[in-house]
Amino acid sequence: MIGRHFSLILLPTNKCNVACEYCFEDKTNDFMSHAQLSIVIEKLLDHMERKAIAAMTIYWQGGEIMLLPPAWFEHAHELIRKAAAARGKRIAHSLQSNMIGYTPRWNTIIAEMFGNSVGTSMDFPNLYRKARHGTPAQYTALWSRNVRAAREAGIQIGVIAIPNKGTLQAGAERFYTYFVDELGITDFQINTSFSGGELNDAKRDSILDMDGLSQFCVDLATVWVERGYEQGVKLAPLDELMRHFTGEGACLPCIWLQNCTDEFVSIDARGHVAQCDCWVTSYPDYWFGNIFDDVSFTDLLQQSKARQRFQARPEALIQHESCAECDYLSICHGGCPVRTYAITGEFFVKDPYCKVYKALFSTMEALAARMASVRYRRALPVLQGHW
Amino acid sequence: MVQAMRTVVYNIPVHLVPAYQGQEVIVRAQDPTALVQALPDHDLEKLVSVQLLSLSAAVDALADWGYGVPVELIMRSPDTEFPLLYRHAKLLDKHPMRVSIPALPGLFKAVKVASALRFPVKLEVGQPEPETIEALQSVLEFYLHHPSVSQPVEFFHTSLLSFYNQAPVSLWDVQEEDPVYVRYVMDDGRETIARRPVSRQVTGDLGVFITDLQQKLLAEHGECCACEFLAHCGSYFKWPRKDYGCSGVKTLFRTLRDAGAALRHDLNTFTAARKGTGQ
Repeated sequence: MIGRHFSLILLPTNKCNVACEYCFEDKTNDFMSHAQLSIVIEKLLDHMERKAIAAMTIYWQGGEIMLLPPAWFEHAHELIRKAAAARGKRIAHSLQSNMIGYTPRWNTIIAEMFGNSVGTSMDFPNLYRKARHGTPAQYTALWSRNVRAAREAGIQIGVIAIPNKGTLQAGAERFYTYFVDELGITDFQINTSFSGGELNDAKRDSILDMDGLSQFCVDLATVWVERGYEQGVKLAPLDELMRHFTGEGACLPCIWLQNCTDEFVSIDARGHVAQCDCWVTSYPDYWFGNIFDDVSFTDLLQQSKARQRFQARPEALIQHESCAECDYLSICHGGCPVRTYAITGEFFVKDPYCKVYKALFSTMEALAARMASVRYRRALPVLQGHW
Repeated sequence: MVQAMRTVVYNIPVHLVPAYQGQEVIVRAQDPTALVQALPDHDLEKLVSVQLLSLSAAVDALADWGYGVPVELIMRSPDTEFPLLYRHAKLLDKHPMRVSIPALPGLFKAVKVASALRFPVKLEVGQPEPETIEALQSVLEFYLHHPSVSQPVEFFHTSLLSFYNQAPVSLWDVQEEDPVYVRYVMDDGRETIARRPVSRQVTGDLGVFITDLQQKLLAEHGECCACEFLAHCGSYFKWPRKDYGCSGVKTLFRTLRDAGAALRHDLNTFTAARKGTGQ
């Protein structure tokens, strides 16, 4: 976080309006006031000045972000805009919501503050997402209705999907068809589950057999290349891996950063600071500090023993794990700390999804080579006789 | 033909900064804080780069200083220091960076990690023994063919380009050791050749050192006389020991020559095909 840009995952509320069984956050009823938000922003701007950071992106999420009303965001947007302008800094905003509380009243602020774009989550099939006292089917119906309404209002919807046991049974073709053909989603990503926070049966159940998940990812990559890649369907992280392996600039997800401490932090509604949203909501032992304490944000980060553990993790992995021998070291670096800790209870070991990642990397590398060859032949038909 | 004048760059220890005011300098130190204190932001005009001689020191001082100043990490023990590259990777956002890695045990792993973190690499090869040649061959293979490599690994990179362009560049230049242009100033202030390990004091005029060396080697009808790679090497591997046998390093040059030729052939074929399609 000493470069030209950094990211903040901000949770202005820790409260949620649904009860997804596998959620990695331990919820509370806390909300952040505008006065508290102002302190957060001023401290972050101080930090940006001290570290010569030009720009920041705030990823707004919760809890459930839409439990705060649109008017709260209108005020927050103006407050942040003025504070950033006074310091000559740029602050952009991104919104992540479950969309259960969406109404057209959100359209204006989504357009003005969030670039008319929202990230949301849905699985296929939906096994764990549900409202309190409701069923996954009811949740899916409500979510689908709201997403459809938002899209009709011109809002870009990106979807994060976490494969579960039902997904593996349904297969990659059916999964892809559900999101792209049936829902009309052209920007989505697959993510992997981790049992953060207080353990329960659903969380245990959500951790899949690695061989099965690897095969699903490989199949999905093939389906996407055949049906979506050239049609402009974004399917992360496959699309970014394709860019990487075809030599274009890629923006790989945070799980594969060389060290996520250099890139972002998370702050929750109570002011606790930690590496990301799961750490800040569910693992008090790993808090870096509290932003409302009488200490600068820069000093809070520099003095945090918990953060020093994060900083030391890649060095430890490269010495004690097999990462240095891996062909894909440059795009993985041992994987995600929170997945590792939540699933294994260990911190200084590599990501337990290593096998899945490797299967995905090698598949995308091969598919990228095939696509490059196809493009080359298309561009230079005179060479076809040479191949 | 008039050649552009190049001034001498002095590689100095940080305590000699005041003595070299107004000169182009590379400043080296163990501790990043010492560099920052000796080189205030307003006084960086003649600073070519800084060298960090220890990879175990805290680097935050450099992260907050002299935006855009080239920083070279000087590795001493690749086998033990390669993990420390991770703590320096955050400097890449602020400074052009390079890692100098000596051809010692752990070389391949250090180059691989440096490359994975997108550090350009300079190999300090010296006069490599046969087992080191094997390690260098592995690194060369990695540099030429591994898809994760996105940054130069010197001297391979410039030599490959010089073979590709058929325009030889001496290793003395590639390795930034030609004393006409770069002088290493030892802690006691004496000047010598900028090649690690710097233990050898060179007598005589550094300005004609390489010319003299090459003339002597040719006059003695040694290995350089019939060497097909002389123009790409410049007798670099014949110093400090003139009797060093070059059969190993010639295999490296052959691999680079063949790769340069293959690259030229492929690109010529591509260009011809584009013309054929009218693109």
